[in-house]
Amino acid sequence: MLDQTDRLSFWSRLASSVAEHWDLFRERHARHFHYLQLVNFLIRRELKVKYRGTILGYLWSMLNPLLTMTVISLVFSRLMRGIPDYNIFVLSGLLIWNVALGTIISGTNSIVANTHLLRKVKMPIWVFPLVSLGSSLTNFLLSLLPFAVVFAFSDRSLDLQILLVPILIIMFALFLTGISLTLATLNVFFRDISHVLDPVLTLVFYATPIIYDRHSDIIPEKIAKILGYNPFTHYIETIRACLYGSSEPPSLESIAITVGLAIISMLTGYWVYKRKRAEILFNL
Amino acid sequence: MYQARLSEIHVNDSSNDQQPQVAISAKNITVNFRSSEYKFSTFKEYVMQRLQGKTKFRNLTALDNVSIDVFKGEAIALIGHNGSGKSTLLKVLAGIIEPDDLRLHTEGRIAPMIELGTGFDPELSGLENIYLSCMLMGLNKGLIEERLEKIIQFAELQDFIDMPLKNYSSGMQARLGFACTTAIDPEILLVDEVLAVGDSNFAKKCLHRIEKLRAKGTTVVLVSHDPQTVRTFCSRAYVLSEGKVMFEGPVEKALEEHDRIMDQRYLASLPIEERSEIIRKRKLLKDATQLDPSKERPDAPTIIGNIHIIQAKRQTRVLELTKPFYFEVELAVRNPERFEEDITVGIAWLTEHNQRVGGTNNLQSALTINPEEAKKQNSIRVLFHFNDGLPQLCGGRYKIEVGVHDCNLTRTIYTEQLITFEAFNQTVGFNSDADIISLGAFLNKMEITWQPAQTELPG
Repeated sequence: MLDQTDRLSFWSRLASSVAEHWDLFRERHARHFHYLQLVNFLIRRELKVKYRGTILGYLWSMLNPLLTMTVISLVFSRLMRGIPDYNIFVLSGLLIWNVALGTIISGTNSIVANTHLLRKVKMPIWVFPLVSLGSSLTNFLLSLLPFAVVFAFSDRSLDLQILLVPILIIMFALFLTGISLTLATLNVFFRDISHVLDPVLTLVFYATPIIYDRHSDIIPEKIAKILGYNPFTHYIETIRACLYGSSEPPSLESIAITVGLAIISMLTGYWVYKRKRAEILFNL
Repeated sequence: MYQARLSEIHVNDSSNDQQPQVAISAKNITVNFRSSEYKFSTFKEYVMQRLQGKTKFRNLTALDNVSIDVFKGEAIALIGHNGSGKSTLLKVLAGIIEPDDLRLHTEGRIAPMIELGTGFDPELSGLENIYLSCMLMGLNKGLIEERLEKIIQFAELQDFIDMPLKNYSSGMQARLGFACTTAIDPEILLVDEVLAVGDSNFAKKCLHRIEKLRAKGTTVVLVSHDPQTVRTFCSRAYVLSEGKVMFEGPVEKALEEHDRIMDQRYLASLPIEERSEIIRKRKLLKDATQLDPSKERPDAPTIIGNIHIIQAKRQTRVLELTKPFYFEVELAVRNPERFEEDITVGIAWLTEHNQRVGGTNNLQSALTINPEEAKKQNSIRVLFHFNDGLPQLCGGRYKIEVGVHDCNLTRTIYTEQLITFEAFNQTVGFNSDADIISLGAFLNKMEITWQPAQTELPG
């Protein structure tokens, strides 16, 4: 009896202590929480403005990948005969790639594009790359709906692996945040970056197994190995393995690689940003 | 959290000793911008310059070792020519620019008004823009919702608040921007030349709002070119030129100093022949005025006047006409022994176009001023009390002229327009017809009756 009340009070004490610490944390970092609120608002603003004046509005977020999928499967389906349900294969790859594309392209320009704000208001610079990430992720979530529809019309079945998707997407988001923070900061000093970005990303698109399978017969083993050095390959392959419902779940090793790459990327981004932050305003 | 507590204690401590509290204290601020000519903007240039060892940039010093202190509740002005560094200084105070080795201490919430409507997005509606702008300036959602009503009301945009901003007139945008900034309820307000936009009514409304904030104890730092605004608001001014503080002190002297610097710069910008010509002409003019006999009477009694408007125990240049106030006239007399008879001290209330509204003097109040006293004291202080205010008068820009006459009001000894100020009348409200008096304030009763027409109406 005594033991039980003791245990109860322990849990309640733990709960209240956690709540207390959380409150303290929130109060201490009120400024940062405020800016997360701002990020949230800016993401919604971006989506709203993006589709203003269109008839279909948000539907475009869902239609666009479907249309691209149709085009690519029309062009490549003969070549990729070895891949079952090629359209789903392509769509899952495209959805993931679009997150990268959106985050990196708009993220890299985000600081320079908001010069007018940074010169007039006191606000942390990291807000802007985060907004780019947030709007790409929102787009991704929206486009999961058409994906589900296409998936439902196929013979494929869902596996438990799908539960891994959120974790992997978070890793991917961290990886992309690191990259876009680095590029956005450097872009302030070398505006060349935003110009060179388009061709480089096109190269990365083809160097990442999005419209083809790295392990299929048409890719020589040597090239498949080289593609393994492309960090995007790992994210696309692991996440697609979960979405596409391939028979094998992603290996622990490949998941570990995605975590490792995310950490390295974040540290790089943080380091570059921290070092250059004070100089950014003087170079805008 | 802990830091906040510590600073609270710190504030309480300093309030005990009667020293005025510092709201902003910045020491030895130096801001260098890299000159754009030598700035690399591509990777290739950077590598080339690195290889050639040319990475030393020509620095452009925007602020050079500037120190500034502002006390709580004080309103100061930063004046200077274009590019003197005043806007940069304001940005440093706002925390937007952070130079190396920054020693800046500020107490309280800061609202920078660097531009009106910071971050406004033309595609969003007025309402969404309120959220956007206020959030950018550091207000969280809950607080914005609390103040939403007030913001919309001040901006007078109740009917248009859901319209996209791009359909607003520039005046409407300015109103909304101003309303957002002041809604922050700042303890320190930094204003950068923003009141120049919009029509004069808007400017007046803004000035009134700023004055209200100041009356509540808000510290104001104002960047302005307009001497009138500076005079109206500020008690102290810093004059900046080429990134340095050239002068710090009372407004009038600062404005003089500013004019002197501007003149110097103007002369320096002229070709040498023109410059010497202007200097020669000025010298002639100066000599001519010195020869003027009326100004050269060493034994004539000379009076130096000064006037303050006091309302709610504060010296002000923005008067609320419905509340009590008084004028305090100070006259310093240089050769009082020249006075032979009683003198009369009066004031005249003028519109900004020098139209006389009314006047009064000590004779009307059945008081006499004996210059014998002046001989002993050589300074006299005259108070004109308006204990009920002047509620019949409409708001506007007015001037006060102080005059000293002999006892029969036949000879003028001294007269000078000493002060220009803004007056507001909260019962009459906005004076769209530029009236001087409010007829409504005198009106006892109005009657309206209907009756058949006395004369045949045509048609």
